[in-house]
Amino acid sequence: MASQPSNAAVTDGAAHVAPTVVKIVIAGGFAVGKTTFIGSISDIDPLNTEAAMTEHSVGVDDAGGITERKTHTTVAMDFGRIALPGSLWLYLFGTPGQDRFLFMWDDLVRGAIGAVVLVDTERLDQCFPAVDYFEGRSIPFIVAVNCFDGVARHQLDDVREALGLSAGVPLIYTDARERAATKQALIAVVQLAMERLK
Amino acid sequence: MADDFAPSALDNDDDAYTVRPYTVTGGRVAGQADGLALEALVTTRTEGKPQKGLTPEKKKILQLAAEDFMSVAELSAHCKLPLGVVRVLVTDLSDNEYLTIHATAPVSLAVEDRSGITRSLLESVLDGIAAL
Repeated sequence: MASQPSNAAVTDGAAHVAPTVVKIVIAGGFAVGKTTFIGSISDIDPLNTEAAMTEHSVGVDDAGGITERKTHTTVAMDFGRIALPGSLWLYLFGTPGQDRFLFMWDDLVRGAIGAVVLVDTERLDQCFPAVDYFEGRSIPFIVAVNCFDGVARHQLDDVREALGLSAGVPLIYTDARERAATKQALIAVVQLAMERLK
Repeated sequence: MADDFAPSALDNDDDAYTVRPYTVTGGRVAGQADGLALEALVTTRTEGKPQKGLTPEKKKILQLAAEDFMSVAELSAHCKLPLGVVRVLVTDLSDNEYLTIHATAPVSLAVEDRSGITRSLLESVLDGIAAL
């Protein structure tokens, strides 16, 4: 058409104004279900992006028997997107699983509403770097225990104690495969961010 | 425009990249592109500036961002190029008026800076997620 606004390539009617973009970070240990979590609620299939690395990471991932299906040799992270009413796009960024890639997290976390730290109670220690990271920067975060087989194996109080979480950090059960459960986790993060504004 | 895409690394779904990543940026690293958020949206400008002489990677970015708003992260994923490379290419394309970067919240490199996150924004997000 003749006179489109110069900054609007999108031709379909009302979409000339760019959506407002927000993001929530999904963190946690290696292979804890971050991509599953994102995929359960994202409008698009989770996408994968990479940062160029000079150092490769073959064979040093400590994830028990699951190393074989995670053989990326670059820093990879998965993300998804949810369109919300009012021209809001919510991005969900999964952190690179291995804690030696913490240097990348600033990029992900800058401007984020908050974070969900996913926890596998069989490998609790894997979430320590994430908890430390968010605590140290006063980023609102919740801890969500991923019930892999739909069964909670541990009491939340025990998990809280094991992680040394302060009372102010919400701790919930989730199921990364279930849209209803991931939705509740996201709601909990946004509610926490709102409380922090007070 | 049949000559838009020569067979290249972009067409190969199996390998991440077949040239050294920063070859496509002419060897430059991020610089001012560092401040470009992963979630920043871009769109190709409609003036129809000739794309002759642009690299296949840049043409691919312009093609993707002509269809809909595209975040830097999505461009990186679809082009199978590292984020740092896409940031440089997008900044270049913006400087040369091929595309528009739609500003996100005020750019601050401090992770602790949460000034862009307002109550009304959070309320909209909360209502939106609850309605999913």
